[in-house]
Amino acid sequence: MSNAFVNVTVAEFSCVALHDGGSIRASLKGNADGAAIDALASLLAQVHVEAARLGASETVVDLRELEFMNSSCLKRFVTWISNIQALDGSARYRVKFLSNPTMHWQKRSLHALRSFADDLVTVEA
Amino acid sequence: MRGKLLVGVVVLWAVAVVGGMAMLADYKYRPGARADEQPLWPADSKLARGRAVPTLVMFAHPKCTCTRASLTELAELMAEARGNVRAHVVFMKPSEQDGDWAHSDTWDQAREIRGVEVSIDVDAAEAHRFGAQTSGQVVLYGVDGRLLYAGGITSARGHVGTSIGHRRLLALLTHRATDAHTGNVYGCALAEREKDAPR
Repeated sequence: MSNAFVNVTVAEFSCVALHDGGSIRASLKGNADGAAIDALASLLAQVHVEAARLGASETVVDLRELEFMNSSCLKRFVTWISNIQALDGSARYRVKFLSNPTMHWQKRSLHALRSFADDLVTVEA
Repeated sequence: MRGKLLVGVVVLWAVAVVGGMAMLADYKYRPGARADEQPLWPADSKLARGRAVPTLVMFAHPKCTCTRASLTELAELMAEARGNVRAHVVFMKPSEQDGDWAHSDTWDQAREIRGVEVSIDVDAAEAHRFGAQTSGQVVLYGVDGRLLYAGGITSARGHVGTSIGHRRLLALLTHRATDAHTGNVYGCALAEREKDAPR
């Protein structure tokens, strides 16, 4: 995975972010609990910097293999999306979440994120 | 011999008194379980959220007597906020209980607070959505749906008076800076059933 700019594993959580053509793709796996908070925050911060640098129009976040995310980690996503909202209109980029419909927590959490920023966030099952 | 017996009785009495006071203090000042704070307003909540003003939700167990103090503080906060908040008090009720089960004195107290919408939460479904676990838990969400505060509004169980939580909430509702966005909650577990709820 030569074009990965983040590749971190902490306890039961791992995340990879890579350039995918003109956009960015981040994949999260495992269990995003208290041990994952710093790694997740760092991932999202770096994704934000890279998206701005590339002028990306969309970032894909693949959660299909993420089994659990606690509210502290969800808060990091809220902060990230708030940071996107704070950008000038032309600099904003969309966030597409790839979800696993068999995981109930994803439905609730992603629904809340989409309600928070329905102009930026899409969810694909 | 009688003297020693008397001293022994006095010592035992003192130990019992001090021990009882310590137990009472521990009960009064031991916070309840913290909420699993939801950073965004739960999208599946049935509660109406304010679009122009923040929304406050207090979760209550109708048999928790400590919650009287939380409601007293809420009444004061509502007056201080001067309409700058939409507020709900949500009383949990197990589905197996009849409709009047939740209509306790605290229900009546909540209904008397001006500007507060009072509702029943069957099987604590809303409490679960918001991650609330303790009676008296308050959450405040901004107009954008972001969590602004999660915690209690009293400084101890059943204690009316100045509290850090009240001060922080008032600051947020009056657009002033606050040092933190959480606080301890003092009350009974929302999951308790009627048979084991405190009297």
